[in-house]
Parts: sequence; structure tokens; C-alpha cells
Amino acid sequence: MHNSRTVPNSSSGRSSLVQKLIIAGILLIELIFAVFAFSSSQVIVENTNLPSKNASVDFNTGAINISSEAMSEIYAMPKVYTLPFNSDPGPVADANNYLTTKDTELLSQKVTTFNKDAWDGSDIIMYEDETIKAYLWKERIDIETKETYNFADITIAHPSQIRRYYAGGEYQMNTRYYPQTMAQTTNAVVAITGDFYNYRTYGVVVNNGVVYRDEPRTKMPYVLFIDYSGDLNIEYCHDNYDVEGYVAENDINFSVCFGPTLVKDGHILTPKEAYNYEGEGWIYGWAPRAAIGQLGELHYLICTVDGKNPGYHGTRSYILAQVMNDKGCYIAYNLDGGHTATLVVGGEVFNRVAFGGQRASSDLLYFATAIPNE
Amino acid sequence: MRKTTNSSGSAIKILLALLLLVVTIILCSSRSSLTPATCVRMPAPEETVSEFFDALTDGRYEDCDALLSNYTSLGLTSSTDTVIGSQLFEMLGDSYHYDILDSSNVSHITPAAEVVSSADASAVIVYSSVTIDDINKALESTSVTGKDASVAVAFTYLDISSMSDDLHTLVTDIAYNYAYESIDINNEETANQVVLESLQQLNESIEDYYRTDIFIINMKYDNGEWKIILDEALYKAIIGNIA
Repeated sequence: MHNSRTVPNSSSGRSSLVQKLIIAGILLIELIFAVFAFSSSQVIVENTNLPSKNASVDFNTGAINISSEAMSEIYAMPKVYTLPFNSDPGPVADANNYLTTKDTELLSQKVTTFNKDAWDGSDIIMYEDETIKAYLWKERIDIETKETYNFADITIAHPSQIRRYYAGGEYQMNTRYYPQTMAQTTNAVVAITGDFYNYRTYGVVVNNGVVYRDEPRTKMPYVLFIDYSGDLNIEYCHDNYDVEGYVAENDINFSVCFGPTLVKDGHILTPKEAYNYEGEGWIYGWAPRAAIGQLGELHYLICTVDGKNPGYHGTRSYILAQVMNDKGCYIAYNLDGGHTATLVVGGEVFNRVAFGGQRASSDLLYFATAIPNE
Repeated sequence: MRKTTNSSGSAIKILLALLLLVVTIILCSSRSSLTPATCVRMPAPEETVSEFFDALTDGRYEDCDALLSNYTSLGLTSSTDTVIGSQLFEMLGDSYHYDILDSSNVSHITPAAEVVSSADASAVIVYSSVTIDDINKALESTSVTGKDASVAVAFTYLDISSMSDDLHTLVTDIAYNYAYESIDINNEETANQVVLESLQQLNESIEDYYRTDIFIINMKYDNGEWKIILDEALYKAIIGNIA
């Protein structure tokens, strides 16, 4: 009932007002700081593992080419053609350089991986220019059961010609194209589906030297890394593996993450290993398969095995390992098989894709000519 | 008694508010993402550009790498695969010259086309392939905004691609002389020798093949320093437009 509580005198009222203004001012400053701190906390996540340029390589290549050009009338020094190490499509391959034939003698002269006795009688396709030689054929190979294997034996002149393509041109989780469309988009001489990286959210994804994904990889521990020399490397990437460190130290261009390893250091995947494998896909059983292996410097063998169609059963991964090893691959890796496995040459699908039609996928491995278009 | 309680309560409130303010400021300051301009003096982006081009000119390529924002490395080393490559690389390195363009020095820059007499040419910086318009446009593009900056640089380099035709002509002429003296030129060693001799002759008037381009160097402020965002145009210039 004291009015001093409800009706303050004027001087204490002013004092109280000043105090309130001070507090309000301080709180306002805090608010400004808080807003500022919040806005500045929108940190852009930057990739610390940045790519490198190849200035010396580019310069040396250019020096060879300018010499070759200058002395063209006195001495034939071969030019070096290269492509940039990026996600751009390759040049358009000259359609006149494709040859469709059934001349097995000719193919035998071109490659040692061809087994004439196992040839299934279908068309053999060849592409040759100064920078890439590709030969594709089919064999019926009888291990446990007779199945159709589609092979591509490819030699390139420069490591920039083995390339990776992601649907839409960049790493993204929601874009998928038919493999044939991707092969046509990239002007691939030969292309094969890779790991279908955006089917899942885990595993390792590296492209153009940049690590895009390095998620826990218990299910996909064996990762294929292709370096800037064009060599295949397979690493067992356990959960604590330093992928960024490996990529930086080993000049890695891109990765493919599926597995398992089929052939490495003289070891071939065994039936027991395939049976016990807990990784992605049905590794032990019969299924359409896809693989890539290396035969020598810038020399590769890729393979798909037809399955999931009437009369076509696919193969088991350990049988594929044996076949790739028999063909001379000292390293070979299992790619995503099943309905994904698609092999394209000159823009046309070469293998019998499972279930009679292509499945839209996220990525390709492909080989391009390096001869520039006029 | 009531009045005393009120005023001490207000004082406590003010103290608490001040304490909160101090804590907020400390927390803000500790954030690495806080705009550095509010905390420390931001160096001039031109300093980094100078460091980069000085390192490039001196052949300290690892120092160049450390100043890049979007690449780990230029991938540039002094070693070359061939003797011709070595010769070209040396000629390229000798050609590097740069000027950072800003309003303070632009008055001393005159494109060759606007040089009236040789006396003018000695008094000013002359760029053979640049116009005043180019320079003015470049200056309009320079800026420093928060963590981004753009710096205009006139960079002179040996345009190796422009030597190609003259080199071819010279090599053919020298090869004819060799043939006239019955020297077998149809082997790699002699062919290389002919190219080297041709390059040495071209080197006598090498400035004819120098090219100056203006580059707008985009930069990013990161961890207390400016770094260069290398683009393809500058990269190609660094390797002499060779292909």
C-alpha cells in the first residue's frame, strides 16, 4: 500500500530509465555480436586436398610438339597428344577409324589377350588412331559353366585418356543417366560403368584429385585408385585410413569404389574369399559382372560377363578373377555388376545388359582419343 | 531500503549484461571464421601478388605453390625432358615481367601504340599488346570486398606458340644448309641440333615474341593471408601459351 512502490519519484524514475537504457544498449550490442557470430559461422566447408596443375608435364609436352612441328620437313618426330585432367568430354573420335570385322587372324595379330578358340563368332570391333587402340570381342569361356565374356583390350598413348565421368558432369547424388548416353556425351571410344557411387552414401569418391566422399567404408574397403600415370592401384581402406593423405602422396586422379580385388601382386581372389566377402554386391554367386585390369603401361583389359537374361547366367567373382589373371592382368578389380554392368564402344552398347535393358547409373570409366577435333 | 535494493539490483543486472557482453566478444573473437578485418590488420592483396610473381621470376616454384588458393601446386619444376625443352624453359623464365596496375602507377604506363618517340619509350613502361582501354577496364575490375579481392597485373611472357612459324622456317633453312654440307639430318640428334641452333637465332630478337596481357587476379583471404585463385588464362601464360 506504499505509493513509493507504485509511483516512483522523478529522479529515481530517470535513474531507472537510464539503467534500463544501458542494459538495453548492452543487450543490443550483444545481439549484434550474436547475429554477426552466427552469420560468420556459416563456414564454407572447403576441401583441403586440392588438385595440382601439371605445368612441367604440359610444358614438356608442348616443347616436344613445337620441336616436332618445327622439324617436320626434316625428321618425323612423333607428336604428343594429351587431354586436360578434368571432367571435360574427350574429342570426337574419327568414325572412319572404327572397323567391324570377323577377321580373327587380324585380331590375333593385334592383341595377345584374344583366344580364337573361345571366340563366339560375333562381330569384332576395332578402333585405331595415333593415341588409342581398342579391340572388342566376345568369348564363351567354360569354367564351371559356359558363359559369354565381353572383352575390350585398350592401349592409350597418354594417361589423360583414361577418364572418369559423373552423370551431369560433376559429383552429385541425384543425377543418373543411361550408360550409353554418358558414353556418347563424353565421346568415349570405349566406356564401362564404374561403381554407381550415388546408389549409396558411403564409400570413397575421388575425382580429379579431389576427395568428394570418405565415409565409413566397412562394406567397401577395397578401393581402386587410378593415378596420374594411368596406373591402377588397389588399397584396403579401413575406417581410419587416411584417404586424403594417400591421394596427395600418390598423385591419384580418381577412384572407383566397389570391389573386391580380383588380382593383385600375384594373388587371385579365391572362392573362399569370395564366399566370405561382406562387401557390396553378391560377390560369390552367379551374376552379370564387370571388371577392369591392367596388362602393362597404359594398357588395360576391361570385361563384362552377360547374365540375368535367358541362357546367360553371369559368373562368380572368383572365376572372373581367374579369367582376368589368365588374360595377363597383373592387377584387376571388380566393378559394379548386375544390371549396372554395361560396356559401350563407339556409342553403342556391346554387351548383353541384364534384364534386356540399361539401368540409369551415376558414372563411367572411359577411354578417349586425344587427337583434337579440327 | 527498497530504493537501495532496486539500485543494487540494477547494478547487478548491468554487471551481468556487461559480463555477458565480454563473454560474447571473447567467443566471437575466438571464431576463426570471424572476419579478420575486425580483429587484425588485413594485408594488401597486392603484396601476395608481388610475392607470387617474384617467386615465379626467381624460379622459386614451391613459394608460388604456397600462395595458391585453388591448387596444391602449379606442378612446375626446373627439370625438362629434352634439351630443346630446357632452352625454351630458360627463354621463358627470362621473359617474365610483371607490373601491378593501380592508380598510382598507371600514369607511367603507356602502350607501345601510343609511344610517339623513343624518348617516350624509355620514360615509361611499354606494353606491346595492351591498350589504354585495356588498362582502364582492368583498373575498374580491381576491388577488395571482405574476403575477396581482385588485383590487375600486366604480365609479360614469351609467347612460345607465336614462335612456331618462324621456328619452322628457320629450321628448314638451317637444315638445307646442313644438307648442302652433306650432313645427314635424318636422325633425331641432328634434327634436335638444328632446332637448337634455330632457337638460338630467334633468341637474338626474342622480345619480338614477348606478349603482355592484363590479368585480373582473383584472390581469397584465408587463414590470415591472401591467396591467388589461379585461372586457366594465367596458367597458360605462365607456361608460355605452349600446347
